[in-house]
Parts: sequence; C-alpha cells; structure tokens
Amino acid sequence: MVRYAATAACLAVILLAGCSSNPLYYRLGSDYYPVSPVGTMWVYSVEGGGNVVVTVVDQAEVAQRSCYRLQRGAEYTYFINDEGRLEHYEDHRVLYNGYEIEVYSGWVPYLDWPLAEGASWTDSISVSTSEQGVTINHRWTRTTTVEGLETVTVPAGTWSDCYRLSETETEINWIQTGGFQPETTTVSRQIWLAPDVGMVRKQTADSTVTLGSFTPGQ
Amino acid sequence: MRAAAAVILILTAVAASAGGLDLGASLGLSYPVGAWGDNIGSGISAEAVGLWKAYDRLGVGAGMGLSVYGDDWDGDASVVRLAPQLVARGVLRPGAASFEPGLEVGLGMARTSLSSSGGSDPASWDPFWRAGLRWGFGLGAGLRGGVGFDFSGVLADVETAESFEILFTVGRKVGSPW
Repeated sequence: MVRYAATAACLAVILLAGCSSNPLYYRLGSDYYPVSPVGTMWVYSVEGGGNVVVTVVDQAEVAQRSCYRLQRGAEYTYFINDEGRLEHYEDHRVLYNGYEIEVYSGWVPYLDWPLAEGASWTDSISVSTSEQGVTINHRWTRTTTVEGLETVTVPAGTWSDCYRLSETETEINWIQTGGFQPETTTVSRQIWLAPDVGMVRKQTADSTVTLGSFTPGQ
Repeated sequence: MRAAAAVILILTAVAASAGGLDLGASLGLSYPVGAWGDNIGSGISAEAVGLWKAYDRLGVGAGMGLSVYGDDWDGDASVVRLAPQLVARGVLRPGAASFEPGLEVGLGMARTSLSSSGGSDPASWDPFWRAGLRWGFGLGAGLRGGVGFDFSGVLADVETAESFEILFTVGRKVGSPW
C-alpha cells in the first residue's frame, strides 16, 4: 500500500514539476505568411533609404485557381494559402535579343506548413522552350531551410517565436545558339517570419529590409 | 489543476487498498479543434488505463495516452502528443451486459512534439485534461467493451489546444494486485 502510494506520488511530482514548456500550439495555430484578407498592408524600410509597401489588393483567378493578389511597389504577385502549404505564382522570363521571353509560368510551392526548426525543402522548375528559332533551357531551384526560432525587434515592434529561414535560389539559363553560354545566377537571402504578421525582416548580401508598420486587413 | 491531481492521487491510494484492478485499452480517432489544426489533419489516439475499483461505481488510477496527427498536404509533418495522466471513471449500472453508461476524466501532462520536412521544433510539456462519456457493455470471456468520446485540452503557453476523440475500448478485470 505504502509502496503504491509512493509510486503514485512520485509520478505526480514528475508530471507536475520540472517540465519545460514553449508555445508550440501557438506556433501551430499562427499564420506565418498571411496573404489575406484584402487590405492587409506591410510597409518595409530599406536600409540606405526608401520604403516598400506591400498590400493585399484583391482576390483573383490565375491559371484557373483562386488566389490573393499582392502589390509590391509596381509589381503584382499571387499567392494561394491552402491545404497545408503556401503557393506562389512564378513568372520566369529570359532576355533575348532585347525581348523578354516567357519560359515558365505556374504555381510552385513556397512554404510547407507547419514550419519547424531544421525543416528543409527544394522546389524546382526545368523547362525548355523554342522562341525566335532558338531553344532556351531554363532551370531554377529554390532551397528553403528553417534555421531557427528567434525573437526579432524591428521598427514595427518585437515578436517572439519568429522563424528564421534561409533561401537559396539558383537559375541557369542557356540560350542554345552561337555566342551564348549557360548563365548561372545564385541569390541567397534570410527572412524572418513572425506569427500572424509574416515577413518582418529580410537580409541579402547587399540589402536589409525591416518591417516599419503592419496593418491587418478587415 | 494541481489540487485536482492531488485529489485523484489520494483517491488512487485509497482505492489501491480496496478493490480489484481493471486494465483497459482504447483506440480511436482524434480531431483537432481550433487554429492549431489548420495545417494538421485528424489523428489516431490510443490509450492504456489501469483503474483500481474503489467501489463498483468508481475507479481511479493512471493512464497513458498517445495521439498522432499528420498534415493534410503531403504527410511529411506530424504532431505527437504523449499524455501520462491520472484517471477517474464513474459508471452507472456497473457490469451491465449491454448498457453501462459512465463518465471518465483524466488530468496530467502532455508532451507535444512537432516534426515537419525533416525538422523538429522543441517539445512542449503542458498541463493536460480530458473528459468524456462512455457506454460499456459485455463482450464475453471476461472482457468489457465500450464506445465513447472525449473532449481534451492542452493548457499550453499563450494558446490552449483542444481536440475531440471518438474511442473504442476493451478492458478486463484482473483482480486485486495485492
């Protein structure tokens, strides 16, 4: 009897004390890259001067899929946040003979929910197209790695439980005609995503962008 | 929370000196309730419970619950919740062949871990509770079956996380352990 009671007491002590806690369920329930509702607005400060305003403009239909249209400066980008992942509409063009030739357009996964430390995935496109009598090969890969959880302070505020992601994008274009060689471009960046806010900081080799203000949509 | 656990603990100690021991296992489906389940699909719940029968209508003891959830998209994410707990069960019409209604509650801690795309977040230990109804019946050969549901919650930092479980149980009385 005493032995069983002591065992039960020990079990209770183990259960109720000495346990670490972190807001895992809060992270699971947060949207780390909100692309809705319409009216949501981010104002970013660019290191060295200038602002970039990103706004969720409206809903649209692109490639037969309903999506949200975001305006970033003078450009539009399109996102779908559904079924456990965020997809981005990629529009890839190659410059040849003074013309922009579209080599790929379509939906590509961008973020795979839920995020977790150490998670990594690669998205890729490989296409070949003929235009103006030449063949253009286009290969693109983007590797995204979740590097850690951090608290981030930017002009718009301080957020804990931010995921820091590193992205490496590599693009190889080969215009298969005389005088052209495969041209490789690699861009690396780090981005910090805050719960229910989205990107609060982005850093590349030559620029840093931080969130100056955030206005949730209605 | 701690007071309730202490009450169950005392009941367990009292019951341990009196009646027989019921061992049972449950298997069922679990459905996340709320935002934490937005990118996580339904899961499978399993539970093992040992109850000392203080009285015919009341049993107290300990149990271990395990729930595993997968993601909706490509199945490369999972949330695993392991919940050691103290359990109390009250029944009406104990031992009835076809209808033994009952109420079961559990209090304990839950260890939750998340894995996704080859990575994993730090595990979280949080207080855990559950409560649900049971409908017990005889299966013959000394076995008892049951169906029921639980509503459970994890009192996690910043945000709580609830879930709903549908459970099928089977159990057997193994007599007093002493």
